[in-house]
Amino acid sequence: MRLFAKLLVVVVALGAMGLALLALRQQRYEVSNEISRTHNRIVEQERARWRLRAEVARLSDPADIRAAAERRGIDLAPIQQASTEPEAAVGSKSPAGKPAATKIPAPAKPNAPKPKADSRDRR
Amino acid sequence: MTDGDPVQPSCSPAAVPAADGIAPLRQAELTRRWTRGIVACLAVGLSLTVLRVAQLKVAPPAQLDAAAGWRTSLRKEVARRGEVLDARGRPLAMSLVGYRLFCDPAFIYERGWDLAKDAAKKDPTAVAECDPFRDAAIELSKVLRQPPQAIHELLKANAERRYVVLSQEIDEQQLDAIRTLDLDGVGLESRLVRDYPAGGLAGQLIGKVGFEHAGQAGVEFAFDKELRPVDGRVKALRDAFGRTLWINRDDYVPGDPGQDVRLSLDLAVQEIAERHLGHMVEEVNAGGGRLIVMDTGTGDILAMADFLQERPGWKEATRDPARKIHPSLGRNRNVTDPYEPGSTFKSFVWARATQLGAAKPSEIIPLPNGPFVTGFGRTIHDVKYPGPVSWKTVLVKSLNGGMACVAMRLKHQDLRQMVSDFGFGQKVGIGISGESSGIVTRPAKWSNYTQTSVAMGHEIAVTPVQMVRAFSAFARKDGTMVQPRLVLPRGTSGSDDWLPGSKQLITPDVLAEAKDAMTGVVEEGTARKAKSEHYQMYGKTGTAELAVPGQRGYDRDRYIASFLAAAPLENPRIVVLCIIDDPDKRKGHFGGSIAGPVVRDVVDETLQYLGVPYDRRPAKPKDPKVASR
Repeated sequence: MRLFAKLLVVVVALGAMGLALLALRQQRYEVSNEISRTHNRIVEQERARWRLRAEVARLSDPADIRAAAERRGIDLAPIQQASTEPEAAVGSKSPAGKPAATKIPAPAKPNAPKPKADSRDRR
Repeated sequence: MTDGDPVQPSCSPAAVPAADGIAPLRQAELTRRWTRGIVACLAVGLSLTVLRVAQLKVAPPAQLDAAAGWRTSLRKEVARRGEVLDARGRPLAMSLVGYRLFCDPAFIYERGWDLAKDAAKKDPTAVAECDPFRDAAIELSKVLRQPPQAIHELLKANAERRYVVLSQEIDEQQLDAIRTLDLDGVGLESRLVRDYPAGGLAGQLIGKVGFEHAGQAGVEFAFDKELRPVDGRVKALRDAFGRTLWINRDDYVPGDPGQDVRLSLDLAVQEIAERHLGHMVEEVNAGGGRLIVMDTGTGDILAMADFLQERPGWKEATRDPARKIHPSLGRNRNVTDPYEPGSTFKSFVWARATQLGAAKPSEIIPLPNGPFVTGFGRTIHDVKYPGPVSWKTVLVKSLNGGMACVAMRLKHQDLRQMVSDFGFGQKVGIGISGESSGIVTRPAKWSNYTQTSVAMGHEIAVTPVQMVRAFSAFARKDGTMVQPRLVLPRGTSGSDDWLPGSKQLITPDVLAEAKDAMTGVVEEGTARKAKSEHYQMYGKTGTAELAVPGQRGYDRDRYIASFLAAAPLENPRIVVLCIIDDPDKRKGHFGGSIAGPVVRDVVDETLQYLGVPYDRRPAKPKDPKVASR
């Protein structure tokens, strides 16, 4: 009888261990499943991002912007500085393709606040 | 009986085990045996289970293996091809995931029949009326916006096939509709598609990819190695419905996306260049046009435009069969096609002759009031014959006779050295395939005739990109020539203001004199139409006769008109070259009159865009009252 009890304990213990292992295994699979679903979602989001990036690029095409501005009667010419001295251009050179933030200050009125260097950029 | 007597075995009932006392012994023995039996059975059962698990795991039966096999799927993890970006990071070419719509007509057929058989149980006529493809064709026609008959025919004609492409690429709406319909036997296949958000802008420069997403032309071809991705792979276990259950760590190999290639091109400047060049090509009904805008400080090519058109009734001098297949497959003629520069070349000869002391700007060149005849008897013609003029005027009025006269004062070696110093006859190395080094007469064949021809920009062929590189020497304060750059190096911000150039080609005093003379070209010379209201510029026009293809000599009625300029005057930011190929003579053919205005407009808009302040005050009306009227 005692032997049977021992056997029962062993079987129950093994069964419990087995169940625990199975539960752990199931949890691992669920986590793996969640990871793979997350992976798929990331891939989808990444592809959506590419698509949106292309759409933004298409909608911000310089020709389209110019045409839209013309339709609305907006003059997109850059603001010209008061000073037109050729020397003023020296030093205002910006990297290729990047509109220069001008270094030519507008003639300041007495007691007027000093223009900020990046005032054009903020516009 | 005494204590010493041995004990006799008792015969009393109490001493002798009872007959039914055997039962508990037997019961215990039985229990033990049962227990042992159960233990043995359990052990055997567990062992068998373990063995079976091991067998299934290690060497499963073929049938089971096949059944389990379909549950795992190995699919390609599509990696993105690198993007082609402009200087500001705007995408010029990028990859997207597109979807190809395909169907399995054999499956649709079988499925249709199965449904018809089920329906026949209720209505026997249903089988006779069954058309397995009808429903699928009707549903697909709504999505694909095609007549159902066409789709029905397609399915019927391929009824035994398992894979028929219905559309190579479907749009977003179609994709949603297909996913909503969830039709049996219809599937979606993802694949990379190359998108060019800027449309045809800089088409010949950017190029195109082929079916396998490999570069076929332009930057796409030249930098294919950098742009090309390495696809990854995913092995996923799927459930009975094909849904992903999980992916083991070792079964996921991520893709390696291609590297982005950042060009020096600025999309906005490119648009400006193509717009103005396109208008002029159309206006003068030219065979084509080319235009380059280059940053003088860094050599960055900000714009590179190339148009070619076929005109009815014209025998075109330039052909590009690949461009007929697709505009982006055409060769980039700014790099591949040399042309005779004509008078634009005079600026280089003028500067070198001045530097070597062959003539001074104020020196009067003894030109006759008619064609100039060289010492070896060659007659040099001009459009006008003003008689003796200063060396500066020779350049301002672009007088062939004056150039030939001074060129004869130079040694052949001097002029050849000038040609070599300015990089003519040598590839620029801009990175585009098919680049030409131009055509320069060999020293052994260099004659007096060559000497006078080269002085006028004849008997030499250069590429447009060589011309802007050479002219950058006039636009940099140190008189050096900058190396044109089309691709910005990786890891740099691309925000350099100035990069060192070649050795000094023009001394500062000659540079100032040449700029003064070329300012005269715009202000009072052959390029008066290129005079801008906002910016002072200097440059040189050219009107070269077109060489007859496949023959010696020139066509006297067909020209290549060009204008090469730098602006603004004091601190030049850009060099612009515009070439109008073979314009209709009736609509204009001089470089100053047709290429000049294009350069003017491009300079105005580009410098405004770059934020360069105007260096010319707008002309004010003399009488405000008159002006207001």
